[in-house]
Amino acid sequence: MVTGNAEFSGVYGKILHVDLTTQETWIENPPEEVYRKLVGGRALIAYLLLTYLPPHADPLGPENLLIFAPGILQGTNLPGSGRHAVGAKSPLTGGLGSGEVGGWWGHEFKRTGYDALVIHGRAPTPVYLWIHNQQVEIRPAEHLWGKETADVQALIREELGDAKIRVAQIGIAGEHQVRFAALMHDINRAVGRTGIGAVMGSKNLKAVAVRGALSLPVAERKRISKVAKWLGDNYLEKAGWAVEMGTPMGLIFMEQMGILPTRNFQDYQFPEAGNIGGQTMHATILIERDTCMVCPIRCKQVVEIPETDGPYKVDPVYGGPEYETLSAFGSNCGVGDLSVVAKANERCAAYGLDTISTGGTLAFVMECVQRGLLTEADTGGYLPQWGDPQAVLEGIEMIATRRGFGDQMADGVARLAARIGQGSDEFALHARGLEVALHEPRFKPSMLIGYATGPLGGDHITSVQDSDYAGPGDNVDRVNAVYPMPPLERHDMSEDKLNLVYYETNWHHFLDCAVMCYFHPYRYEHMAEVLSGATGREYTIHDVLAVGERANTLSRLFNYREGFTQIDDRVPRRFLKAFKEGPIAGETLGPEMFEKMLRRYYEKMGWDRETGYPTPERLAALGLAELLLDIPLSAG
Amino acid sequence: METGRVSVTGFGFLKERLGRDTTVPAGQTAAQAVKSLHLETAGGLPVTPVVNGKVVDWGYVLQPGDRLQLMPTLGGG
Repeated sequence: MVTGNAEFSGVYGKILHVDLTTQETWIENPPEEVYRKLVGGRALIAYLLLTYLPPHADPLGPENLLIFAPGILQGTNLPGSGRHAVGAKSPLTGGLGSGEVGGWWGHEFKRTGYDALVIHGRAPTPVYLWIHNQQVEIRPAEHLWGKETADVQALIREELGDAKIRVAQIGIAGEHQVRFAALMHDINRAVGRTGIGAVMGSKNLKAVAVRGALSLPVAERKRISKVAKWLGDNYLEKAGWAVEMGTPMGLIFMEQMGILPTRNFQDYQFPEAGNIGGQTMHATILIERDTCMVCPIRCKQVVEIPETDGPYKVDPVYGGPEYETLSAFGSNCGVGDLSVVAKANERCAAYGLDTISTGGTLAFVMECVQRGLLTEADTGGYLPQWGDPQAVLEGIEMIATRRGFGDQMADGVARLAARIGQGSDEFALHARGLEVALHEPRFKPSMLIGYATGPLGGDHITSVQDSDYAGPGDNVDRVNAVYPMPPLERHDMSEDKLNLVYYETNWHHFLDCAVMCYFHPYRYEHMAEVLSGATGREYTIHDVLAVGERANTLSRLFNYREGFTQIDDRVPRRFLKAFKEGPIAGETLGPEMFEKMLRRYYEKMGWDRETGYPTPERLAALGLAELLLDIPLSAG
Repeated sequence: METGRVSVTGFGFLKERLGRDTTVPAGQTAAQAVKSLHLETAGGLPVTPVVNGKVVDWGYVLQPGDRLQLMPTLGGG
């Protein structure tokens, strides 16, 4: 039954607020236009931060908000909708922090009858939240503090007497406020990026346990079912790669193409790539594939290494490494031993660490050591060399506990480079403080526009990856629904490419609002149909893309309010210099073209060409002006 | 290999579909060759053409004796 928004379905019309300082809870009933225009996820998070967070608040102070935001489609049982977003002001970047995650928690949370959860304040001692149906309890968590994620989930389920409770939690990295601590769900699924786990730790909040029983009201079930059937009929053909092996498949091909991030992106090929690729993993340590709520693809890896098989026992409860992790701890740290990479993945899930930022930080420190910029006196003796398995595993533990030099590494590469100096910022690979993902921007140059302008910084998810549109296929077909164009070569920087970047970046942001899985091969028109079916309001494909543009624009407004300016739209210089040898020798966007594309992208987004700030005209055109009427913003 | 032809090798999903000893005529672009073989994607994953070990554009005109490799290319993960 719909409450709060009698004719608008797909939501309950309720956002739950919990203040850990005062122990108060209250319900907010947003107007329909908030749901209709923002849908959920990142757009809702940015809007709530703009609304309730005082400007320039300390990300690790009690004023920061921690926001759990499923989208309208969570609970519709559409394949790929079993995801939700979590956001806050990031302690790593100082801007918008958010991440999306699959699994089962989001579905269970929405069954409690709320569309989002906003946590305020700071508890005086460790606590966890227990939300079941319409009840909220703040319970003591001293006995959970310091424990690993698998143990915490088991203890909460035992304590509350229900094995079907879903748990979102921080590990010891979040407790120590590591600036890239993850927020783990179902033990092995992470909201990894931007340090959301540190925000939760700063609130003395160990976990949020949920159990619900409500069924989401939707306006026209048939319209959703029709799209779900299309997915069922087509996923084997259009997402067969994810069914067969998933993301680890890509590593070995990247090596062969000369685009595999190696030794902090100094190199492009890693001779031991075959040892750590998905094909080897599937032939040796993989024991099963896992999935999320209502997903037939089952892309997730589960690996196990028994104690009898060497020094690196790996517990399958922590899942297994995906591509980013294989490259982050493998090729990019020079490690060619799959068991070490699998162990690193396990430790990050047990401690609650983002594998991309953790691996990126270790690779940066290794390059500092390679170049003689760190001494034993600087690091207390921790001087990791490329390919040293113990250095990787010890480094992870040092970061998670902030032990020794780990206290500095736990602040990420941007702060580390500022402290180390000596030109190390040249190879501190981050954008706006977020360590870059494991993709080669010299091969996919439009990623640099995403890194520079995207809400999070060095995030590959919302960035457009040129190779996805260079040949014929579903990606180009999808864009053709709004912009007819042929496949575009990777390094094409024409008006067509600019339009492609504009539309597809907005599409990616839409997926993070809905909150939908990127691996499901839906098109714009599918999302328009299911949103219409869920809400009872007609959405066009342009409405769908406008949701994404609103998310990007609201994030931009938030980041500028927190102090970012056009000057911060920068990328690591390493990516603007081409390799001299190898399969992609000579390829790079270069500084001049980067600057030119950046300004053209501002114009496309309706951002001022000089300042990069959203113009009043575009805010009005997106229908944001009225939403933002009473909200303090930057002057731009 | 027959004179005037180009060998084509697929990886991942494309390996089985292509089989062994597949060749196409030289003088066409990599895009045209892939279209003629109906191998636009690898199980839905985009493909990147590599010729003689070097990543090339889709508009690259295949030369006699070239070795064309079709690499599944991951975008996320």
